[in-house]
Amino acid sequence: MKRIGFLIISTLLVLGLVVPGMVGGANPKIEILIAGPMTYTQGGDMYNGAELAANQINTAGGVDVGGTDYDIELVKVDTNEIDNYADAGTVLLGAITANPNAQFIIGGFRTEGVVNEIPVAMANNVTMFITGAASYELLAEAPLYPYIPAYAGYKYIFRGSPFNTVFLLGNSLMMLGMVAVEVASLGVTPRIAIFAESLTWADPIVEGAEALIPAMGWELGHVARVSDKASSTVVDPELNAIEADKCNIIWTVMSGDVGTVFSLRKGALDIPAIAVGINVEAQAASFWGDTNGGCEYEITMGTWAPGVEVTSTTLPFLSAFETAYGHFPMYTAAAYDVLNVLATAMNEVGSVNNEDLISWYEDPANAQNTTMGLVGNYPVWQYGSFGYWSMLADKDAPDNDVGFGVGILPALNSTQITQIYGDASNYDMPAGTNFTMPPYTTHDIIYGPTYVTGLAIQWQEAP
Amino acid sequence: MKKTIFVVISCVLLLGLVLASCADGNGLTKGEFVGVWPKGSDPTVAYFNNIMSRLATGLNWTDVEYTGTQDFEIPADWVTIWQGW
Repeated sequence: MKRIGFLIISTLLVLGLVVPGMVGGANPKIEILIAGPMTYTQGGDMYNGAELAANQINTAGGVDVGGTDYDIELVKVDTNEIDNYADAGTVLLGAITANPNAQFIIGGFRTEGVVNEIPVAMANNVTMFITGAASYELLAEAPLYPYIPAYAGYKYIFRGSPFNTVFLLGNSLMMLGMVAVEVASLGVTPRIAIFAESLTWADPIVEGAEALIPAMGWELGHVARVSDKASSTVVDPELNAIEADKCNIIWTVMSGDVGTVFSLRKGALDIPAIAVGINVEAQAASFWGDTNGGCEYEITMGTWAPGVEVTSTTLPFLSAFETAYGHFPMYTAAAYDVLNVLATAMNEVGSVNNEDLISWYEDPANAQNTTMGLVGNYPVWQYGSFGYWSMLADKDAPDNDVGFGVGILPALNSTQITQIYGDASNYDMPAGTNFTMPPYTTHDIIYGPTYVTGLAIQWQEAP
Repeated sequence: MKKTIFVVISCVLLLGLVLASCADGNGLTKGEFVGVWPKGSDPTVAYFNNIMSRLATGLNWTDVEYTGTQDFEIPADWVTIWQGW
Protein backbone atom coordinates (compact mmCIF):
# COMPACT_ATOMS: atom_id res chain seq x y z
CA MET A 1 0.00 0.00 0.00
CA LYS A 2 2.83 2.29 0.91
CA ARG A 3 4.49 1.42 -2.40
CA ILE A 4 1.36 2.30 -4.40
CA GLY A 5 1.12 5.59 -2.57
CA PHE A 6 4.76 6.31 -3.34
CA LEU A 7 4.19 5.59 -7.05
CA ILE A 8 1.14 7.83 -7.21
CA ILE A 9 2.98 10.67 -5.54
CA SER A 10 6.02 10.17 -7.79
CA THR A 11 3.82 10.18 -10.90
CA LEU A 12 2.09 13.35 -9.78
CA LEU A 13 5.44 15.00 -9.11
CA VAL A 14 6.73 14.05 -12.56
CA LEU A 15 3.54 15.33 -14.16
CA GLY A 16 3.87 18.46 -12.14
CA LEU A 17 7.26 19.05 -13.66
CA VAL A 18 6.26 18.19 -17.21
CA VAL A 19 2.89 19.86 -17.56
CA PRO A 20 3.99 23.40 -16.73
CA GLY A 21 6.71 23.04 -19.31
CA MET A 22 4.11 22.17 -21.89
CA VAL A 23 1.68 24.92 -20.98
CA GLY A 24 4.02 27.88 -20.57
CA GLY A 25 6.88 28.42 -23.01
CA ALA A 26 6.43 25.19 -24.92
CA ASN A 27 7.33 27.01 -28.11
CA PRO A 28 10.93 27.14 -29.22
CA LYS A 29 12.59 30.49 -28.54
CA ILE A 30 13.98 33.22 -30.72
CA GLU A 31 16.56 35.05 -28.65
CA ILE A 32 17.04 38.74 -29.36
CA LEU A 33 19.51 41.07 -27.66
CA ILE A 34 18.16 44.51 -26.76
CA ALA A 35 21.27 46.64 -26.38
CA GLY A 36 21.31 50.18 -25.12
CA PRO A 37 22.00 52.53 -22.21
CA MET A 38 19.57 50.79 -19.89
CA THR A 39 20.02 53.08 -16.90
CA TYR A 40 18.74 55.98 -19.01
CA THR A 41 15.22 56.49 -20.33
CA GLN A 42 16.65 56.23 -23.84
CA GLY A 43 17.63 52.64 -23.20
CA GLY A 44 14.79 51.84 -20.84
CA ASP A 45 12.14 52.74 -23.39
CA MET A 46 14.05 50.86 -26.05
CA TYR A 47 13.66 47.73 -23.95
CA ASN A 48 10.08 48.58 -23.00
CA GLY A 49 9.09 48.90 -26.64
CA ALA A 50 10.66 45.57 -27.49
CA GLU A 51 9.13 43.93 -24.45
CA LEU A 52 5.66 45.19 -25.34
CA ALA A 53 5.99 43.77 -28.84
CA ALA A 54 7.35 40.46 -27.53
CA ASN A 55 4.53 40.12 -25.01
CA GLN A 56 1.90 40.82 -27.64
CA ILE A 57 3.46 38.38 -30.10
CA ASN A 58 3.90 35.63 -27.51
CA THR A 59 0.41 36.09 -26.09
CA ALA A 60 -0.99 35.72 -29.59
CA GLY A 61 0.75 32.36 -29.90
CA GLY A 62 4.19 33.37 -31.10
CA VAL A 63 5.71 33.82 -34.53
CA ASP A 64 4.54 31.31 -37.09
CA VAL A 65 7.66 30.27 -38.97
CA GLY A 66 6.98 27.60 -41.53
CA GLY A 67 4.19 26.12 -39.42
CA THR A 68 6.11 26.16 -36.13
CA ASP A 69 5.28 28.77 -33.51
CA TYR A 70 8.24 30.49 -31.87
CA ASP A 71 8.24 32.68 -28.77
CA ILE A 72 10.32 35.82 -28.59
CA GLU A 73 12.81 35.88 -25.73
CA LEU A 74 14.58 39.14 -25.00
CA VAL A 75 17.95 39.59 -23.38
CA LYS A 76 18.55 43.04 -21.90
CA VAL A 77 22.09 44.31 -22.51
CA ASP A 78 23.17 47.48 -20.74
CA THR A 79 25.88 48.86 -23.00
CA ASN A 80 26.35 51.98 -20.86
CA GLU A 81 27.10 53.72 -24.12
CA ILE A 82 26.11 57.21 -22.99
CA ASP A 83 28.76 57.22 -20.28
CA ASN A 84 31.35 54.94 -21.85
CA TYR A 85 31.57 54.84 -25.63
CA ALA A 86 34.77 52.86 -25.80
CA ASP A 87 33.56 49.78 -23.96
CA ALA A 88 30.19 49.48 -25.69
CA GLY A 89 31.56 46.98 -28.19
CA THR A 90 33.17 44.87 -25.48
CA VAL A 91 29.92 44.75 -23.54
CA LEU A 92 28.03 43.70 -26.64
CA LEU A 93 30.61 41.03 -27.42
CA GLY A 94 30.14 39.63 -23.92
CA ALA A 95 26.40 39.44 -24.47
CA ILE A 96 26.81 37.72 -27.83
CA THR A 97 29.21 35.22 -26.31
CA ALA A 98 26.89 34.53 -23.40
CA ASN A 99 23.91 34.08 -25.71
CA PRO A 100 25.24 32.11 -28.67
CA ASN A 101 21.76 31.42 -30.03
CA ALA A 102 20.95 35.10 -30.42
CA GLN A 103 21.19 36.10 -34.07
CA PHE A 104 19.64 39.55 -33.76
CA ILE A 105 20.41 42.77 -31.91
CA ILE A 106 17.99 45.65 -31.58
CA GLY A 107 19.62 48.75 -30.18
CA GLY A 108 22.50 51.15 -30.38
CA PHE A 109 21.68 54.67 -29.24
CA ARG A 110 24.79 56.81 -29.09
CA THR A 111 26.74 57.01 -32.36
CA GLU A 112 30.08 57.16 -30.57
CA GLY A 113 29.22 53.84 -28.91
CA VAL A 114 27.51 52.29 -31.91
CA VAL A 115 30.65 52.60 -34.00
CA ASN A 116 32.21 50.17 -31.55
CA GLU A 117 29.20 47.86 -31.55
CA ILE A 118 28.84 47.51 -35.32
CA PRO A 119 32.19 45.72 -35.87
CA VAL A 120 31.27 43.26 -33.12
CA ALA A 121 27.96 42.44 -34.76
CA MET A 122 29.66 42.08 -38.13
CA ALA A 123 32.44 39.84 -36.84
CA ASN A 124 29.98 37.54 -35.13
CA ASN A 125 27.52 37.37 -38.04
CA VAL A 126 24.73 38.81 -35.91
CA THR A 127 22.18 41.11 -37.53
CA MET A 128 21.93 44.48 -35.83
CA PHE A 129 19.00 46.84 -36.21
CA ILE A 130 20.24 50.23 -35.03
CA THR A 131 17.49 51.73 -32.90
CA GLY A 132 18.34 55.18 -31.71
CA ALA A 133 21.54 56.34 -33.40
CA ALA A 134 20.80 58.58 -36.38
CA SER A 135 24.17 59.32 -37.96
CA TYR A 136 24.00 58.61 -41.67
CA GLU A 137 27.67 57.68 -41.62
CA LEU A 138 26.87 54.47 -39.74
CA LEU A 139 25.36 52.99 -42.90
CA ALA A 140 26.99 55.05 -45.63
CA GLU A 141 29.19 52.13 -46.65
CA ALA A 142 26.55 49.42 -46.47
CA PRO A 143 25.88 49.40 -50.24
CA LEU A 144 29.47 48.41 -50.84
CA TYR A 145 29.26 45.11 -49.03
CA PRO A 146 28.52 42.91 -52.02
CA TYR A 147 31.56 44.22 -53.87
CA ILE A 148 34.37 44.92 -51.47
CA PRO A 149 35.42 42.24 -48.99
CA ALA A 150 36.32 44.77 -46.31
CA TYR A 151 32.69 45.83 -46.13
CA ALA A 152 31.13 42.37 -46.27
CA GLY A 153 29.96 42.58 -42.67
CA TYR A 154 27.60 45.43 -43.48
CA LYS A 155 25.11 42.93 -44.78
CA TYR A 156 24.20 42.43 -41.10
CA ILE A 157 23.69 46.10 -40.25
CA PHE A 158 20.36 47.86 -40.69
CA ARG A 159 18.67 50.86 -39.11
CA GLY A 160 15.25 50.56 -37.53
CA SER A 161 14.82 54.07 -36.11
CA PRO A 162 15.07 57.01 -36.47
CA PHE A 163 15.49 58.23 -40.03
CA ASN A 164 19.06 59.37 -40.52
CA THR A 165 20.71 62.72 -39.95
CA VAL A 166 20.40 63.75 -43.59
CA PHE A 167 16.66 63.74 -43.16
CA LEU A 168 16.68 64.88 -39.56
CA LEU A 169 18.22 68.05 -40.93
CA GLY A 170 15.56 68.38 -43.60
CA ASN A 171 12.74 67.64 -41.19
CA SER A 172 14.15 70.05 -38.61
CA LEU A 173 14.52 72.75 -41.20
CA MET A 174 10.89 72.40 -42.17
CA MET A 175 9.92 72.80 -38.53
CA LEU A 176 12.24 75.78 -38.27
CA GLY A 177 10.65 77.16 -41.40
CA MET A 178 7.22 76.79 -39.85
CA VAL A 179 8.29 79.01 -36.95
CA ALA A 180 10.46 81.44 -38.93
CA VAL A 181 7.69 82.15 -41.42
CA GLU A 182 5.36 82.93 -38.52
CA VAL A 183 7.95 85.16 -36.84
CA ALA A 184 8.52 87.03 -40.09
CA SER A 185 4.78 87.52 -40.48
CA LEU A 186 4.84 89.34 -37.14
CA GLY A 187 7.17 91.94 -38.59
CA VAL A 188 10.29 90.51 -36.98
CA THR A 189 13.32 89.24 -38.84
CA PRO A 190 14.00 85.65 -37.78
CA ARG A 191 17.36 85.57 -36.02
CA ILE A 192 18.28 82.01 -35.24
CA ALA A 193 20.68 80.71 -32.63
CA ILE A 194 21.87 77.12 -32.66
CA PHE A 195 22.16 75.13 -29.44
CA ALA A 196 23.65 71.73 -30.19
CA GLU A 197 25.48 68.88 -28.54
CA SER A 198 29.11 68.31 -29.38
CA LEU A 199 28.43 64.84 -30.70
CA THR A 200 28.97 63.16 -34.04
CA TRP A 201 25.31 62.89 -34.97
CA ALA A 202 24.82 66.63 -34.50
CA ASP A 203 27.77 67.71 -36.66
CA PRO A 204 26.20 67.41 -40.13
CA ILE A 205 22.96 68.92 -38.86
CA VAL A 206 24.73 71.97 -37.46
CA GLU A 207 26.95 72.35 -40.50
CA GLY A 208 23.94 72.09 -42.78
CA ALA A 209 21.99 74.63 -40.77
CA GLU A 210 24.87 77.09 -40.71
CA ALA A 211 24.90 76.97 -44.50
CA LEU A 212 21.17 76.91 -45.11
CA ILE A 213 19.83 79.43 -42.59
CA PRO A 214 21.46 82.42 -44.33
CA ALA A 215 20.49 80.94 -47.67
CA MET A 216 16.87 81.03 -46.57
CA GLY A 217 17.12 84.76 -45.94
CA TRP A 218 17.22 84.43 -42.17
CA GLU A 219 19.92 85.63 -39.81
CA LEU A 220 22.27 83.17 -38.14
CA GLY A 221 23.04 84.19 -34.56
CA HIS A 222 25.00 82.68 -31.69
CA VAL A 223 26.06 79.07 -32.14
CA ALA A 224 26.55 76.99 -28.96
CA ARG A 225 28.11 73.51 -28.99
CA VAL A 226 28.03 71.87 -25.58
CA SER A 227 28.46 68.45 -24.01
CA ASP A 228 25.41 66.19 -23.92
CA LYS A 229 25.96 66.17 -20.15
CA ALA A 230 26.53 69.92 -19.73
CA SER A 231 25.37 71.54 -16.49
CA SER A 232 23.90 74.97 -15.89
CA THR A 233 27.44 76.29 -15.42
CA VAL A 234 27.94 75.79 -19.15
CA VAL A 235 24.37 76.25 -20.33
CA ASP A 236 23.60 79.55 -18.61
CA PRO A 237 26.35 81.60 -20.30
CA GLU A 238 25.31 80.23 -23.67
CA LEU A 239 21.66 81.15 -23.07
CA ASN A 240 22.68 84.62 -21.93
CA ALA A 241 24.80 84.98 -25.07
CA ILE A 242 21.81 84.01 -27.19
CA GLU A 243 19.65 86.67 -25.54
CA ALA A 244 22.43 89.26 -25.84
CA ASP A 245 22.62 88.36 -29.53
CA LYS A 246 18.88 89.13 -29.80
CA CYS A 247 17.97 85.77 -31.22
CA ASN A 248 14.23 85.10 -31.31
CA ILE A 249 14.54 81.45 -32.32
CA ILE A 250 16.83 78.76 -30.89
CA TRP A 251 17.37 75.76 -33.12
CA THR A 252 18.04 72.79 -30.86
CA VAL A 253 20.02 69.63 -31.63
CA MET A 254 20.10 67.60 -28.41
CA SER A 255 19.65 63.98 -27.42
CA GLY A 256 21.09 63.80 -23.91
CA ASP A 257 20.56 65.13 -20.41
CA VAL A 258 21.57 68.61 -21.47
CA GLY A 259 18.14 68.91 -23.08
CA THR A 260 16.52 69.08 -19.67
CA VAL A 261 19.13 71.50 -18.36
CA PHE A 262 18.61 73.71 -21.40
CA SER A 263 14.85 74.00 -20.96
CA LEU A 264 15.01 74.28 -17.19
CA ARG A 265 17.52 77.12 -17.33
CA LYS A 266 15.88 78.81 -20.33
CA GLY A 267 12.72 79.05 -18.28
CA ALA A 268 14.53 80.15 -15.13
CA LEU A 269 16.46 82.84 -17.00
CA ASP A 270 13.31 83.87 -18.89
CA ILE A 271 15.01 83.81 -22.27
CA PRO A 272 12.46 85.21 -24.78
CA ALA A 273 13.19 82.90 -27.70
CA ILE A 274 11.20 80.03 -29.09
CA ALA A 275 13.09 76.74 -29.18
CA VAL A 276 12.48 74.46 -32.13
CA GLY A 277 14.37 71.44 -33.39
CA ILE A 278 15.37 68.20 -31.70
CA ASN A 279 15.38 67.77 -27.94
CA VAL A 280 14.92 64.10 -27.17
CA GLU A 281 14.40 64.70 -23.46
CA ALA A 282 11.41 66.88 -24.35
CA GLN A 283 9.66 63.79 -25.70
CA ALA A 284 9.17 62.58 -22.13
CA ALA A 285 5.80 63.26 -20.56
CA SER A 286 7.55 64.27 -17.34
CA PHE A 287 9.38 67.10 -19.09
CA TRP A 288 7.06 69.86 -17.88
CA GLY A 289 7.71 68.91 -14.29
CA ASP A 290 11.40 68.20 -14.93
CA THR A 291 11.86 71.74 -16.22
CA ASN A 292 9.45 73.52 -13.88
CA GLY A 293 7.45 74.53 -16.92
CA GLY A 294 10.54 76.03 -18.57
CA CYS A 295 9.73 74.01 -21.68
CA GLU A 296 6.60 76.02 -22.41
CA TYR A 297 6.37 76.84 -26.14
CA GLU A 298 9.31 74.54 -26.92
CA ILE A 299 8.87 72.57 -30.12
CA THR A 300 10.72 69.33 -30.69
CA MET A 301 10.64 66.70 -33.33
CA GLY A 302 8.91 63.55 -32.23
CA THR A 303 8.12 60.12 -33.49
CA TRP A 304 4.68 60.17 -31.93
CA ALA A 305 2.42 62.77 -30.34
CA PRO A 306 -0.71 62.32 -28.27
CA GLY A 307 -3.73 61.85 -30.48
CA VAL A 308 -1.79 61.96 -33.74
CA GLU A 309 -2.61 58.88 -35.75
CA VAL A 310 0.31 58.38 -38.09
CA THR A 311 -0.91 54.91 -39.01
CA SER A 312 -3.71 52.71 -37.78
CA THR A 313 -1.38 51.08 -35.24
CA THR A 314 -0.04 54.31 -33.70
CA LEU A 315 -2.73 55.04 -31.14
CA PRO A 316 -3.21 51.43 -30.01
CA PHE A 317 0.55 51.26 -29.47
CA LEU A 318 0.66 54.50 -27.49
CA SER A 319 -2.25 53.37 -25.35
CA ALA A 320 -0.73 49.95 -24.68
CA PHE A 321 2.66 51.45 -23.89
CA GLU A 322 1.28 54.00 -21.44
CA THR A 323 -0.83 51.33 -19.78
CA ALA A 324 2.15 49.01 -19.39
CA TYR A 325 4.83 51.51 -18.41
CA GLY A 326 2.97 54.56 -17.15
CA HIS A 327 4.50 57.14 -19.42
CA PHE A 328 4.61 58.37 -23.00
CA PRO A 329 7.27 56.53 -25.01
CA MET A 330 10.55 58.07 -26.04
CA TYR A 331 11.47 57.53 -29.70
CA THR A 332 13.72 54.58 -28.90
CA ALA A 333 10.55 52.65 -28.04
CA ALA A 334 10.36 52.16 -31.80
CA ALA A 335 12.08 48.90 -30.92
CA TYR A 336 8.42 47.85 -30.84
CA ASP A 337 8.20 48.40 -34.58
CA VAL A 338 11.59 46.87 -35.27
CA LEU A 339 10.65 43.67 -33.50
CA ASN A 340 7.28 43.43 -35.21
CA VAL A 341 8.90 43.88 -38.61
CA LEU A 342 11.44 41.19 -37.72
CA ALA A 343 8.64 38.82 -36.75
CA THR A 344 6.92 39.54 -40.06
CA ALA A 345 10.14 38.85 -41.94
CA MET A 346 10.56 35.49 -40.20
CA ASN A 347 6.97 34.59 -40.93
CA GLU A 348 7.11 35.54 -44.59
CA VAL A 349 10.52 34.03 -45.27
CA GLY A 350 9.78 30.98 -43.17
CA SER A 351 13.10 31.08 -41.35
CA VAL A 352 14.56 32.23 -38.05
CA ASN A 353 18.04 32.28 -39.57
CA ASN A 354 19.33 35.83 -39.90
CA GLU A 355 21.19 35.04 -43.13
CA ASP A 356 17.92 34.10 -44.78
CA LEU A 357 16.24 37.39 -43.91
CA ILE A 358 18.69 39.86 -45.42
CA SER A 359 17.33 39.79 -48.94
CA TRP A 360 13.81 40.19 -47.58
CA TYR A 361 14.83 43.41 -45.84
CA GLU A 362 16.55 44.66 -48.96
CA ASP A 363 13.43 44.29 -51.09
CA PRO A 364 11.49 47.57 -50.97
CA ALA A 365 8.34 45.62 -51.73
CA ASN A 366 8.51 44.33 -48.17
CA ALA A 367 8.11 47.75 -46.55
CA GLN A 368 5.98 47.33 -43.45
CA ASN A 369 3.31 49.48 -41.87
CA THR A 370 4.47 50.44 -38.37
CA THR A 371 3.41 52.94 -35.73
CA MET A 372 5.76 55.46 -37.38
CA GLY A 373 4.66 54.96 -40.96
CA LEU A 374 5.68 52.64 -43.73
CA VAL A 375 9.18 51.29 -43.06
CA GLY A 376 11.34 49.90 -45.79
CA ASN A 377 14.89 50.12 -46.99
CA TYR A 378 16.11 52.45 -49.69
CA PRO A 379 16.04 50.86 -53.09
CA VAL A 380 18.21 53.68 -54.38
CA TRP A 381 21.70 54.84 -53.76
CA GLN A 382 21.37 57.48 -51.12
CA TYR A 383 24.33 59.39 -49.94
CA GLY A 384 24.92 62.32 -47.71
CA SER A 385 27.88 64.32 -48.86
CA PHE A 386 28.78 67.74 -47.59
CA GLY A 387 26.84 66.86 -44.49
CA TYR A 388 23.37 67.33 -45.80
CA TRP A 389 22.85 66.59 -49.45
CA SER A 390 20.75 63.62 -50.25
CA MET A 391 21.88 62.41 -53.59
CA LEU A 392 19.35 60.17 -55.21
CA ALA A 393 20.20 58.84 -58.61
CA ASP A 394 17.44 59.20 -61.14
CA LYS A 395 16.34 56.12 -62.99
CA ASP A 396 15.88 58.18 -66.14
CA ALA A 397 19.21 59.90 -65.93
CA PRO A 398 21.88 59.04 -68.48
CA ASP A 399 24.32 56.38 -67.44
CA ASN A 400 27.07 58.77 -66.50
CA ASP A 401 24.89 61.27 -64.72
CA VAL A 402 24.11 61.25 -61.03
CA GLY A 403 20.88 63.15 -61.05
CA PHE A 404 18.38 64.11 -58.42
CA GLY A 405 15.08 62.45 -58.07
CA VAL A 406 13.40 59.46 -56.62
CA GLY A 407 13.27 56.25 -58.50
CA ILE A 408 14.51 52.75 -58.67
CA LEU A 409 18.18 52.88 -59.42
CA PRO A 410 19.77 50.87 -62.16
CA ALA A 411 23.40 50.03 -61.71
CA LEU A 412 25.81 52.75 -60.78
CA ASN A 413 28.84 52.75 -63.00
CA SER A 414 32.38 53.52 -61.98
CA THR A 415 32.04 57.19 -62.90
CA GLN A 416 29.05 57.60 -60.65
CA ILE A 417 30.72 55.74 -57.81
CA THR A 418 33.79 57.91 -58.17
CA GLN A 419 31.62 61.01 -58.07
CA ILE A 420 30.07 59.86 -54.83
CA TYR A 421 32.86 58.09 -53.01
CA GLY A 422 35.98 59.46 -54.61
CA ASP A 423 38.47 57.39 -56.52
CA ALA A 424 37.90 53.67 -56.34
CA SER A 425 41.45 53.19 -55.12
CA ASN A 426 40.17 54.42 -51.77
CA TYR A 427 38.41 51.12 -51.46
CA ASP A 428 41.21 48.72 -52.33
CA MET A 429 40.17 48.75 -55.95
CA PRO A 430 42.62 49.68 -58.71
CA ALA A 431 42.15 53.24 -59.88
CA GLY A 432 39.95 53.40 -62.93
CA THR A 433 38.33 50.07 -62.28
CA ASN A 434 35.17 49.95 -64.30
CA PHE A 435 32.91 48.09 -61.97
CA THR A 436 29.19 48.39 -61.98
CA MET A 437 26.92 47.95 -59.02
CA PRO A 438 23.36 46.76 -58.98
CA PRO A 439 20.77 48.63 -56.96
CA TYR A 440 21.85 47.73 -53.50
CA THR A 441 20.35 49.48 -50.52
CA THR A 442 21.85 51.52 -47.76
CA HIS A 443 20.01 49.40 -45.16
CA ASP A 444 18.64 52.72 -43.96
CA ILE A 445 14.94 53.36 -43.60
CA ILE A 446 13.03 55.27 -46.24
CA TYR A 447 12.09 58.81 -45.33
CA GLY A 448 9.36 60.86 -46.95
CA PRO A 449 5.62 61.13 -47.43
CA THR A 450 3.90 57.75 -47.53
CA TYR A 451 6.94 56.37 -45.70
CA VAL A 452 8.41 57.54 -42.40
CA THR A 453 8.38 61.24 -41.63
CA GLY A 454 8.76 63.30 -38.50
CA LEU A 455 6.25 65.39 -36.69
CA ALA A 456 6.60 68.30 -34.34
CA ILE A 457 5.24 68.60 -30.85
CA GLN A 458 5.02 71.70 -28.69
CA TRP A 459 4.77 72.02 -24.94
CA GLN A 460 1.79 74.17 -24.06
CA GLU A 461 0.02 75.04 -20.85
CA ALA A 462 -2.91 72.71 -20.43
CA PRO A 463 -6.28 74.44 -20.85
CA MET B 1 -4.72 58.34 23.00
CA LYS B 2 -6.84 57.00 20.15
CA LYS B 3 -8.25 60.46 19.60
CA THR B 4 -4.75 61.92 19.40
CA ILE B 5 -3.68 59.32 16.86
CA PHE B 6 -6.83 60.01 14.82
CA VAL B 7 -6.15 63.74 14.82
CA VAL B 8 -2.51 63.22 13.80
CA ILE B 9 -3.48 60.87 10.96
CA SER B 10 -6.17 63.28 9.81
CA CYS B 11 -3.70 66.16 9.78
CA VAL B 12 -1.19 64.09 7.81
CA LEU B 13 -3.84 63.12 5.28
CA LEU B 14 -5.03 66.71 4.97
CA LEU B 15 -1.47 67.93 4.51
CA GLY B 16 -1.00 65.26 1.86
CA LEU B 17 -4.05 66.49 -0.01
CA VAL B 18 -2.89 70.09 0.15
CA LEU B 19 0.61 69.23 -1.03
CA ALA B 20 -0.77 67.08 -3.84
CA SER B 21 -2.93 69.93 -5.06
CA CYS B 22 0.13 72.20 -5.15
CA ALA B 23 2.44 69.62 -6.67
CA ASP B 24 2.08 70.68 -10.29
CA GLY B 25 5.62 71.95 -10.55
CA ASN B 26 5.87 74.45 -7.72
CA GLY B 27 2.39 75.80 -8.29
CA LEU B 28 2.70 75.89 -12.06
CA THR B 29 -0.28 74.91 -14.06
CA LYS B 30 0.09 71.63 -15.82
CA GLY B 31 1.63 71.39 -19.26
CA GLU B 32 1.02 69.00 -22.10
CA PHE B 33 2.60 68.42 -25.46
CA VAL B 34 0.57 68.47 -28.59
CA GLY B 35 1.19 67.67 -32.23
CA VAL B 36 1.66 70.93 -34.09
CA TRP B 37 3.16 70.06 -37.44
CA PRO B 38 2.40 69.95 -40.26
CA LYS B 39 -1.03 71.37 -39.39
CA GLY B 40 0.43 74.66 -38.20
CA SER B 41 2.04 75.37 -41.52
CA ASP B 42 1.48 75.07 -45.20
CA PRO B 43 4.08 72.61 -46.38
CA THR B 44 3.60 73.71 -49.95
CA VAL B 45 4.99 77.21 -49.48
CA ALA B 46 8.16 78.13 -51.23
CA TYR B 47 10.33 77.87 -48.15
CA PHE B 48 9.65 74.21 -47.77
CA ASN B 49 9.81 73.38 -51.42
CA ASN B 50 13.07 75.26 -51.66
CA ILE B 51 14.59 73.35 -48.78
CA MET B 52 13.36 70.04 -50.00
CA SER B 53 14.44 70.65 -53.55
CA ARG B 54 17.94 71.04 -52.22
CA LEU B 55 17.71 68.02 -49.99
CA ALA B 56 15.76 65.47 -51.92
CA THR B 57 13.85 66.58 -54.93
CA GLY B 58 10.75 64.63 -55.57
CA LEU B 59 9.30 64.43 -52.09
CA ASN B 60 5.83 65.83 -52.33
CA TRP B 61 4.92 67.39 -49.02
CA THR B 62 1.31 67.92 -50.00
CA ASP B 63 0.97 64.19 -49.51
CA VAL B 64 1.63 64.04 -45.76
CA GLU B 65 -0.78 61.54 -44.32
CA TYR B 66 -1.30 62.81 -40.79
CA THR B 67 -2.10 66.13 -39.25
CA GLY B 68 -1.12 67.80 -36.03
CA THR B 69 -3.74 68.25 -33.39
CA GLN B 70 -3.47 72.02 -33.12
CA ASP B 71 -1.46 75.08 -34.11
CA PHE B 72 1.74 76.04 -32.38
CA GLU B 73 1.86 79.14 -30.22
CA ILE B 74 4.26 82.05 -29.87
CA PRO B 75 3.73 84.16 -26.71
CA ALA B 76 2.71 87.75 -27.38
CA ASP B 77 5.07 89.19 -24.76
CA TRP B 78 8.04 87.65 -26.52
CA VAL B 79 6.93 89.21 -29.79
CA THR B 80 6.74 92.58 -28.06
CA ILE B 81 10.32 92.13 -26.83
CA TRP B 82 11.52 91.12 -30.29
CA GLN B 83 9.86 94.14 -31.87
CA GLY B 84 11.69 96.36 -29.39
CA TRP B 85 15.13 94.95 -30.17
